[in-house]
Amino acid sequence: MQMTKSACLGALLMALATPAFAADAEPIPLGVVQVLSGPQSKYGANANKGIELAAEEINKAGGINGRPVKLFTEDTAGSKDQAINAVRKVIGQNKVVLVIGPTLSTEVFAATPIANQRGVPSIALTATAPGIASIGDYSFRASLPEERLIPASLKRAKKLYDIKRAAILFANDDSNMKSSADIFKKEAAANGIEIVAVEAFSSKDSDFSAQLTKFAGLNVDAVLVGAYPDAGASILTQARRLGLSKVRFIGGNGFNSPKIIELAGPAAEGTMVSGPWSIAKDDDANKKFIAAYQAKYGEVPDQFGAQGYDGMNIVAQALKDAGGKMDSDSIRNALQKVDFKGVMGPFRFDQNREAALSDGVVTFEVANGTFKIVQ
Amino acid sequence: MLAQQLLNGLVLGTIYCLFSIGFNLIFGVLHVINLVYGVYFAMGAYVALVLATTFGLPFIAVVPAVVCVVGLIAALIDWAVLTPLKGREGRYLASLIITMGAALFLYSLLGHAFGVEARRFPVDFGPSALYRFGGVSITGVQIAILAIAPLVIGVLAYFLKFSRWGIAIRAAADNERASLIVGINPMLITLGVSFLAAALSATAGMLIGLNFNAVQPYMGEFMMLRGFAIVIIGGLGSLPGAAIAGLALGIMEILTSAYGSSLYREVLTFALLLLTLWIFPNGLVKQINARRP
Repeated sequence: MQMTKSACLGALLMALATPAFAADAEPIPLGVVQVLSGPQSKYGANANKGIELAAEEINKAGGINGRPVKLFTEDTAGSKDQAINAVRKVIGQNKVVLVIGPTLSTEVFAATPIANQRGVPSIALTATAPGIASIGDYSFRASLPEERLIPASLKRAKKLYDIKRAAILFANDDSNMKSSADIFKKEAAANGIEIVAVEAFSSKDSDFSAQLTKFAGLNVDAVLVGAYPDAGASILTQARRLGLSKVRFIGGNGFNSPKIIELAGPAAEGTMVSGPWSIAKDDDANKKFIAAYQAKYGEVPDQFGAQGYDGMNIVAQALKDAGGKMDSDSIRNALQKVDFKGVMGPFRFDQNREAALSDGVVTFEVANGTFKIVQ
Repeated sequence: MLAQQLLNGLVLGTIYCLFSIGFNLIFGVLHVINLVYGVYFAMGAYVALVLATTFGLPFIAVVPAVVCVVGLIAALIDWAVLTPLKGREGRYLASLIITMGAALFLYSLLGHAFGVEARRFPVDFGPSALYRFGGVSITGVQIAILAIAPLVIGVLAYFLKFSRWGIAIRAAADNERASLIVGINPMLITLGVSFLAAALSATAGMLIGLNFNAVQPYMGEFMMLRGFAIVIIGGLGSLPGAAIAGLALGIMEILTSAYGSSLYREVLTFALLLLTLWIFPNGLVKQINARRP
């Protein structure tokens, strides 16, 4: 009895909180496929928080052409197989018109071809490995690939600190990090930086002493790292202990998280990274987003939260532009033409369904425990 | 360079050694493959973290507290998980499956309780000083590892060899039925072995968490892979085997990264595992020490 009562009350509250949609306003079903459990859940869960925040705002503001959006969220647990099943499920059972996700590049390569085959547009918000948008005509990618971020870091590092010799260290069991390493190699050559060693580790390693000791012996000016924040922070702390105190660490996309500072503490000082978004960008849209995110979740957003938030809004904009038409090709064409300005800056897709603009790219250096934007 | 790398290898090997001895102790005495064992590794690190951050205990108090707390939790969990298997047919396979389920459950539980992101110890916790001897740098934590691990292993060896309880445990390992006949309580043996093994695992987890300054729920899973390789190379059930193989593997992994390439670090470990299985199925070290019938 008590349960029924509180359920009724809950329903009532929800009804009051959301604007009254017309009785025949059928929700627009959208699939959200993200890593929500397991060791990699931090990326997907934060992206999902951004997505849910944006969807809530969209529905509160009256939905899309009078129809609310309804999210069908599935967890991939970071596994390719589960990502495939999740995409099949949202398309087959929930009849979604578009899939947002999956989170990791490896999952996208496995699961997105299925959405593409069935002609359901999909949009990857966080995956950064090359080749994702070329999966098919219906697969879009909103995140800036690392090929666009790493050059900014290297150019600025070279200019500011005269880097001549560098070593690469990356997680060789993660396709994202492997591609970071390849891009580092290519862009270092383009910027006149000599790569004197390439070393690897496995994502779950916590011991980097052998690789770092080797770098110390090679007198490198910089270490270019492809690692997620947890491994990255261990690398930084161990490096300082092994006497690589003057070596500059430059990270790929994985380093663009406040976690790296939180975990590595003083050892993170001087670390450089470029990213599509910064908590320090002080335009109104960004400030509003950070405040709303904090109010809803009680924590500050990271890059993944911002990507989720912008991604959901890009989708909403495209659906709005498509008018009432919810067939695959109308949505696809609307996405292709979308013109949007979000918390990460102006956004549109290029002919290859990749993010067209990199105006928003910022390079940071850790100074006094925070990311400071460097020019 | 070589000296520094050898030190890196020695530290890693010592941790492997601690971890594998406990794993083998469970296998040798209880005749089960306990996958929950990796959870105690992570648990050791988390208990240390909580004691250090929430209660502000100093390192010297945290070490014995971790040993006791995780040991007791482990005794309880293992009792609940493994008791139903007593005296059943096909204990190996059943233990593998039931402990796999329990381990997955406990890892997720840890993830929910502490978050899946890596956590770190307070900056001033533990021996944080850095010493330099020529070109070799050694941290206080590394010194602590090199001091604590042999101490723990020594105490365990003494306990198993000379104490009444230790002899009872070895008797149960040698012949379970005969140990029942002479009145050794199998329940107490299970609890005791779980406690001892988990204490080793937790100590290893705490020390590695402190050394590499990252504590994650899934750190035990990675360690279990290494643990499996080590106990097979060293010989299932053989404690000296686990100790020697653990130490050797740690040093070899580091030297492979240092003078070969870190790309082949795991290749080497698992190639060695395969070779051992093909050529000395009883384990490399056990083979050398084999008693004649």
